[in-house]
Amino acid sequence: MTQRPPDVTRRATQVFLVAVIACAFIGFVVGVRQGVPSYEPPEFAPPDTPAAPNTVAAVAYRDFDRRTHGPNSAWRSSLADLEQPAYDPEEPVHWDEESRRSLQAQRASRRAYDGAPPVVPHPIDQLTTSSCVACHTTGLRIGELRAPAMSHDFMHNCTQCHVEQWSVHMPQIAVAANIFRPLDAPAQGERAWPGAPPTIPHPTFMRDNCMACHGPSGPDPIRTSHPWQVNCLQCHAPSAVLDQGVFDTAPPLLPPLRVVPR
Amino acid sequence: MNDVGVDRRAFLHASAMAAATAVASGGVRTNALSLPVLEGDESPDNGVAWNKGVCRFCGTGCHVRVGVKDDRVVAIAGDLKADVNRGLLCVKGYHVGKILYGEDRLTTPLLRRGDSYVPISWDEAVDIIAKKIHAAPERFGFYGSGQWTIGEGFAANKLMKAGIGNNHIDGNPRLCMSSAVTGFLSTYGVDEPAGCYDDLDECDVLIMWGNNPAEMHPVLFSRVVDRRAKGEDVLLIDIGTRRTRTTDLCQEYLEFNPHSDLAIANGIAHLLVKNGTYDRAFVEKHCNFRQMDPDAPNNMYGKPMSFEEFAAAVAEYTPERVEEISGVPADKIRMLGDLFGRRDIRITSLWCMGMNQHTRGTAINCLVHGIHLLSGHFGRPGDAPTSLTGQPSACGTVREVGTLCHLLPGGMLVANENDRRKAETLWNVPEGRIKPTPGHHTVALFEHFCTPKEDGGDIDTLWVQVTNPGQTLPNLHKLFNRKKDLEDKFLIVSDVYPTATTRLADLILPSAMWVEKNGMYGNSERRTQHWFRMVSPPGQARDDCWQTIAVARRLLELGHPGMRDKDGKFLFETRDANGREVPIWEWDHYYDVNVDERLFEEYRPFSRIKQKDLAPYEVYVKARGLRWPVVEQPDGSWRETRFRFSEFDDPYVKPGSEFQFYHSVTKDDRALVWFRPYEPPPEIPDDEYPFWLNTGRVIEHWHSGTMTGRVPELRRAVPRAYVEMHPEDARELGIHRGDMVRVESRRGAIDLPVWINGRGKPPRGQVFVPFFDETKLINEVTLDAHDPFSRQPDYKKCAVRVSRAPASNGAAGTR
Repeated sequence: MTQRPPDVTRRATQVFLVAVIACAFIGFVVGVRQGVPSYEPPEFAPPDTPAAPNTVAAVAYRDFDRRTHGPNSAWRSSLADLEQPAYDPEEPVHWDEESRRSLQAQRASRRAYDGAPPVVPHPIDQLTTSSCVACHTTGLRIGELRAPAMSHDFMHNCTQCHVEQWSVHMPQIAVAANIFRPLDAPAQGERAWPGAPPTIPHPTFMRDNCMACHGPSGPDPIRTSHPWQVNCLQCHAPSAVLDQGVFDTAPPLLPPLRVVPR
Repeated sequence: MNDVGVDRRAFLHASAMAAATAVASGGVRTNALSLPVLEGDESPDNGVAWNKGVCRFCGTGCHVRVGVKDDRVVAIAGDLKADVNRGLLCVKGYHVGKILYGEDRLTTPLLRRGDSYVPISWDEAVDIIAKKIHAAPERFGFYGSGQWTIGEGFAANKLMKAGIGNNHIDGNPRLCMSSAVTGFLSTYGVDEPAGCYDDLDECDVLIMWGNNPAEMHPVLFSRVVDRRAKGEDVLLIDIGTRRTRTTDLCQEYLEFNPHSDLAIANGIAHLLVKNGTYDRAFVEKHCNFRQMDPDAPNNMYGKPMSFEEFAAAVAEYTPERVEEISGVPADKIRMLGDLFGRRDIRITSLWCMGMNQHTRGTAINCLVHGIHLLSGHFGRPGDAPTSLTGQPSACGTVREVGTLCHLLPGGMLVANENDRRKAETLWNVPEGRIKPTPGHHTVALFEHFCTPKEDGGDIDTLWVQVTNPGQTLPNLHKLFNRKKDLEDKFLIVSDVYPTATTRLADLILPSAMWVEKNGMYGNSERRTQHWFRMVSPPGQARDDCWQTIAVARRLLELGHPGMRDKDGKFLFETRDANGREVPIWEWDHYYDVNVDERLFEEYRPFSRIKQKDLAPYEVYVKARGLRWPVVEQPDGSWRETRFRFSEFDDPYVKPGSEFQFYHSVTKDDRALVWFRPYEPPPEIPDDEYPFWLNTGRVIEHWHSGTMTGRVPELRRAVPRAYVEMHPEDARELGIHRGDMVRVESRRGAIDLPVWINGRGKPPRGQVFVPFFDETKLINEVTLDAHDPFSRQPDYKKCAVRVSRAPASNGAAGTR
């Protein structure tokens, strides 16, 4: 093995330092010149409350870690690095009236009426569907943040039905008042008696994947307590009425028995 | 106030058969709003009654299920039984129920007094209009819409052409699809597409010509891309001038210089001829060749040419020459030529405003039909040149009912004496009632209205229904805004909200909209659709059709002779099931009978004149729309036609002929393959105005945004207009995203925020602005140059310059 001359090491260190300083300088100049496209998302407002006008302020470098979106202190650059809690199918489902009400209120705030496609409650980049499906294909749960899986088959054009509610691309405006009164979501499916499996209180069209909402990435009050039972419709009955099925007022039965007096 | 169930009961009374059928198949509901004729609809326990409706927005014609509770729409669902959309909608359709409930709905007639308005009664309003018309009937114009229901359009058309005897009635489809009409007429001799949406399920190649269906006709687009997502092999080709959401989902993107689509189409024709890959058998049997006649440049039908002359004419459009003109690489032109040259694949072309809002709109429409005919990619499922419409009833109400200044119902022409006699007979009015000269087309109508009497402006009173020309006309300063200073011009606007048009109105009438009235629409694929009134309109808002009939009645009372037919009866005389006349001009009695049904039945005979046969009203009540011609079968049922001119499906095609163009221009059952040369556009960017301006829509907003702008979910998604720009252009001008810039043409200027690398990406030298924002009227900038045959303006290209907006404007809008 040959000993490396000491001046080569020194030279390499110098070259390295010059490169680092140059990169930092260029990075700083570029950053200052273009501003940093960042954005403070407001709390999501219920549909009939006008969103507060907001401005998008540049974020100082020292505040980067505290940004709510984009690279902050919790930022990991790849999905695989994100700390997702290990999924425990036997984890008990916690729910009470309070949590169910708050879930319903949140759910209602993200759609025009029961059955409307949910709006997108976060900024999107408008560019491709791949950024949507990165999180929404299987669903994610990271701390309090939940990205629900798609309840329907993959469709190419997400923004055909789901639109964002505050654009990072444009200043927000007050929204004209609308006095529409929405159809509320049913509180829960009907049960024949306590302990009986509830019926499905919503249409099943575009909701082929029950686990999208009721599975691991679903919120507690509606998460299934028995995810190992994979044939949901074995016990939970859909509704022909909600599914726009053909409905007769008279049940399809043979004519009644003809009972004559003795 | 009428009980909203009245129309339904009247209808049921009148057609017991329909009800009986429905009872057998559907079931009677107890809810007052329920319509027992609709199969499979049933109200769940929460008290919501569901009925079928048609989406209020674009020309796709999706069926929606409308959930109604306590006389209000509370929810919407895609209709699983509808062929068009199979349960799916787009974000506008899912929110369509909210358009009724903007807080600022117009609810009372308003008359201008200085800068303000005073509420007046309906009687006064009707009287004012009738007296204005009666004073000078020949100086009255009516401007309608592809959002008129069939009944509304028919009533207005009859009032004008068979009553007032003045053909100054035109509709906004003039701005939207009249080049498609002239393209169909000059190719097949009769309007409207031969194919239908079923082609989208069968095609192997889908070519979109200047079209962005991912945003404009999303339900149709997803029908194709979802096929591909499920593993089918479909090649999507976007031939466009700007990258859009559609481009993202296409395998091929061919970006062409604005206006040069004619060169591309000619290049394909040239390759088909040169390579001998055109469909010789189809062409020899079913086609003639055609070119413009230099001696009669105004004749849309041109003069014949031979195949050899055609081949020589397209010979200059070699792939290299096309590349020079269009900027599309020669290899891509060869790719298109090869695809059209193959017999083993099915090719569908789609287009909408890109080809129609074009000063050479008729020409490019003809050329795209031409390459489909030349290559035999026609008339089999999946092989179709299909134009889409932007409005829900541009086809049903305007093209078919003929509410344009040169048309009569059923595709007949004002200028044709035979056609006039037929219409006069069907309307039972004296011979000569219909004037032989076409009225003013849209641009001319507004030019005359905005020109002082002494300078030759011959329209004094203009009634606008269901549309917003104050935002959607091109070159607004010239065609609309000048009205402001003209005291003796009277503008009447029937609408549902204040708009850019009502800002100059002298009389504003509050209208009922969508499911607040009975209606029928006709979509892009010849499908006639029906819905019933489901909720009451707010305040004193009333049906547009009632407004028209009430004015007609007042004119009759004032002694206008045109309001009576040959037998002295009122033009809109309506009788109930017992034969008693119903005074439908009185609002309280308007829904005693189903006026929509009565008008539709009066219109139906017109539809048979050119084989656009419509079925009886009650058949549509039960259907999710039917595509004409709808022909009665021996068993009494009614059969729709999916593929027109194709023997296997169209009952009017002679057996054994395979294809028959039975309204052929040349009277020999052949379609015309046109040669139309590429010519440069009327205004080209120069040093002073160096950018192309393109305008259009976004998925969330529909046209002028009057309805969608009041739906919070849609408004928040796209709050205001913006200008898209190429990053290099922005860099050169020192402009960053969000900066306010001034977009300025020779006609006007507006200030807008810039969106770089946004939803659409224009190439260098082009900017794009959506037109939905009523506070940012891009049409003050656009050009009013129009196609010489269709009179449709070109909103897609004019020259502008872009500069940083003056600081006073910038402060309010920038981020």
